Amino acid sequence: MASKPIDPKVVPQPQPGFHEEEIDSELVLYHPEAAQVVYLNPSATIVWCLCDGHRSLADIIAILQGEYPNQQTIEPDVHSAIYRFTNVGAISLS
Amino acid sequence: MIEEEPYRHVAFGGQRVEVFATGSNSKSIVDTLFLDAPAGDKDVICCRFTVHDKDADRLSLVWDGATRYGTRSQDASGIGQCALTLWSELQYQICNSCDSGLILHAAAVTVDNQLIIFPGVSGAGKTTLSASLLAAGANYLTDELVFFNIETGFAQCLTRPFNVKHSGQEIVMKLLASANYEGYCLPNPVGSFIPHRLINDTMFRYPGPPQKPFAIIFPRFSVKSSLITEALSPANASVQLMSCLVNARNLDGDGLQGCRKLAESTSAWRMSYGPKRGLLSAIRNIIPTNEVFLR
Repeated sequence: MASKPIDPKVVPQPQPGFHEEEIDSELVLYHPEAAQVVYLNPSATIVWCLCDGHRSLADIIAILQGEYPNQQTIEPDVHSAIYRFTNVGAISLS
Repeated sequence: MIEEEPYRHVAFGGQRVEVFATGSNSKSIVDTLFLDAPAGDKDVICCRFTVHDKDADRLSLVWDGATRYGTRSQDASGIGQCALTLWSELQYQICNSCDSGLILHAAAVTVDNQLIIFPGVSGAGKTTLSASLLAAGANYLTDELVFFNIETGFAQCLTRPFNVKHSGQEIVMKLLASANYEGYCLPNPVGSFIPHRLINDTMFRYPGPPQKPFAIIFPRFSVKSSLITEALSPANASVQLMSCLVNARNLDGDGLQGCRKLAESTSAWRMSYGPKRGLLSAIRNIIPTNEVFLR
């Protein structure tokens, strides 16, 4: 399913309450109060790590395009990951 | 009204339930549900149930000192409802009290003496899968609940008859084609309790002993699906396990560390499958026989 474009200037803000649990080199987000747990695949993990509350969406995409110049789907992949984070409440776009 | 000695004990997840039964109908219901369930008298008692039909024409289910369900003794649908209520409440009481490990909504079988666990939410196809595997020669352990002891790493299964929901009856009834099941099945509001021994009496000695899980497979049934398997990482499997955890609220960190321990101690797979044959050999193919593979 195609995700709606997000304003590239928006700065994704990680929300408090989510703990990172590293399991066998992969990341799981766990929110104790909400009893919520989210598995991050390797590409989602990279996007999550780049969401530091200062970088804009455009910054994140630019960094990944610089790192992976042959990867054609970086922009939709980042949008998809950000949507997923917002859906579970781990990221705010406001 | 209550006999002094319980008719059956059910011991699971460090909890024990005493089930009293008086009268032939009552004993028949209790035997149908708990004949192969793990028993024992050492664990803490979390609940007592009484089923009785000594009163003429009445079958009653009692717990916590109150009659919770009553029906006419000859009412087949009422008897089925009574059995389902007894099962559901017993399961609730155990899961509500258990804090010593993970209780997973899962089916389980042994294949070549190795324990394979199939966690899944309602509708994932656990009953259909375990019934199909039993028919193919696996040993059936449960279609509903598995307890994983976080300290020991051993798993225990709560064996019960298949509870075949209406949507799965056509498939399971085909497996019963050569069996004389008249009078043995117990229709209830969501389907039927069907004794697993009718599908294939493998002479397995119940209850199965606690053993370390050899593989975890998350099943997904679809009538149109062909067999697809995909290996899962421990992190992914941990999250999938948490979605099948019944007693999460009793556990530190909602059971994440326990799920992690289970996921890291075995291999995990996702499996989509349809009604075609060949499941058992497919499972044998995806499970490495080399134990070095296990973490």
